[in-house]
Amino acid sequence: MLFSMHEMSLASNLLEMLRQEMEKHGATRLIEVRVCYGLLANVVPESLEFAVMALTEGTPLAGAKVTMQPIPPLLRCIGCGCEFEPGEARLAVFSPCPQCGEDFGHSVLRGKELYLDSIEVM
Amino acid sequence: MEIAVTRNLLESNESVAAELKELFAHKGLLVLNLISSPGAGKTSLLERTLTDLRGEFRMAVIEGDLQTDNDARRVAATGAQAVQINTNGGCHLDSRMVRDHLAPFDLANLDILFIENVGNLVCPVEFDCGEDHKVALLSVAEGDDKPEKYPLLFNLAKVMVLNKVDLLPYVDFDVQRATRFARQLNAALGVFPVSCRSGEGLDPWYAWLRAERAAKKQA
Ligand SMILES: Nc1nc2c(ncn2[C@@H]2O[C@H](COP(=O)(O)OP(=O)(O)OP(=O)(O)O)[C@@H](O)[C@H]2O)c(=O)[nH]1
Ligand SMILES: [Mg+2]
Ligand SMILES: [Zn+2]
Repeated sequence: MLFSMHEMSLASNLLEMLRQEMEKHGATRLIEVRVCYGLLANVVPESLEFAVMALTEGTPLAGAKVTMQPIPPLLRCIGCGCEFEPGEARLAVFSPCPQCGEDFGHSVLRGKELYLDSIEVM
Repeated sequence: MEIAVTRNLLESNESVAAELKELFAHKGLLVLNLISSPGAGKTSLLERTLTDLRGEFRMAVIEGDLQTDNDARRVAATGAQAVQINTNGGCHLDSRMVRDHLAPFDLANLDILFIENVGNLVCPVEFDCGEDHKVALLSVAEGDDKPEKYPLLFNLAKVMVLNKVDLLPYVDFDVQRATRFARQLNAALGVFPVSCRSGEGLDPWYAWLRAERAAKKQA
C-alpha cells in the first residue's frame, strides 16, 4: 500500500478536526468521512485513505469509511478570459485554451481545494 | 446523522502561520523560506550569504532536514546561530515546527531569519511557515523543465535563484527557457543566476535582500 509522510501529516490534521466535530455534536461513532480534493492539490487520495486507516486503528474512530471526492480543475485563460476545464489534470496550468490556444499562465479558479466536506456519525 | 463541515485540511497550519507572521512583523524581522530539490545548493547559498553579509545584518537560520544536523553545523561554522529541525522522514517543515523551535532566538535582535526547508519541490510549497517570501532555488544540474513540472513553487515564489551556473558549459540547461517558463507562471519573479562555488552573480541577490530588509523594517 502507498505510504507517504505527506498524507500522514494531512491525515493527522484531519483526525484532529474529526475529534473536534464529533465532540461538538456529541457523536460517539464515526461512520463515514467525506473529503473533497482538487485534482491540482498535492494529495494522493489512496495514500490519505490509508493514512486515516493507519492512524485510527485501535481508536474510537477506527473503521470509518473514507470517501475521497475529486474536484476537476477550472481555469481562466490569461489570453481571452474564458473559463475552461483542462483535459489532463497534472499539467493543467499549461493546458491550451479551447478558444484562443494560449497555453501558459492561466489562473486556477478551482482545483486546488482540500477540505473535510462532511461526516456521518452516530 | 450527517454533519456538514467544510474545513480546510491545512487550516491549523495556516492559523499558526498567521500568528507567526504577526510575531515577525512585530519584531520587524524579514523571514525567507528556501525551497529546492535536494542538493540544489540551499546550504551553500546560506554559507555564502551569512559570510558575505556578516557585517551588515544579524542573521540566523532554521535548518529543516529529514535526519542529521550536518547543515546546521555547516551554517553555524559561519558564526550565525542555527537551529536544526529533524522531521524524521517528514517531507516538509510546517508552521508549528517553526514556532516550536523559535525559543533559542532573540528575535528582536535579528534582521533576517532564513528557513532552509527539507529538500523537496512539492510539499514545502503548501505549508506556509509564516515567511515573508518563498525563495525558489534551482540548480542548472537539474534540467530546465523544473518550472514546467513544479508550477506551484514558481508561481508562489518571490525570486528564483538559479545556482551552479559554473556548470553551464557541461550541462544541457537553457537559462532562457527556464526563466521564460517561470515568468509565465509568475511575471514578477526575480531571477538570480549565481554560482555558490565561484561566488559569481551573488551581488544582485544581496541587493534584493537589502531592499527586502529595508522594506520590512519600514512596514
Ligand atoms: N559546481 C557547483 N556545485 C555547487 C554549487 N553550489 C553548491 N554546490 C554543491 O552541491 C552540493 C549540494 O549543495 P548543498 O548546499 O548541500 O545543497 P542543499 O540544497 O542544501 O541540499 P539538501 O539540504 O541536502 O537538500 C554540494 O556538494 C555543493 O558543494 C555551485 O554553485 N556550483
Ligand atoms: Mg542543505
Ligand atoms: Zn483563451
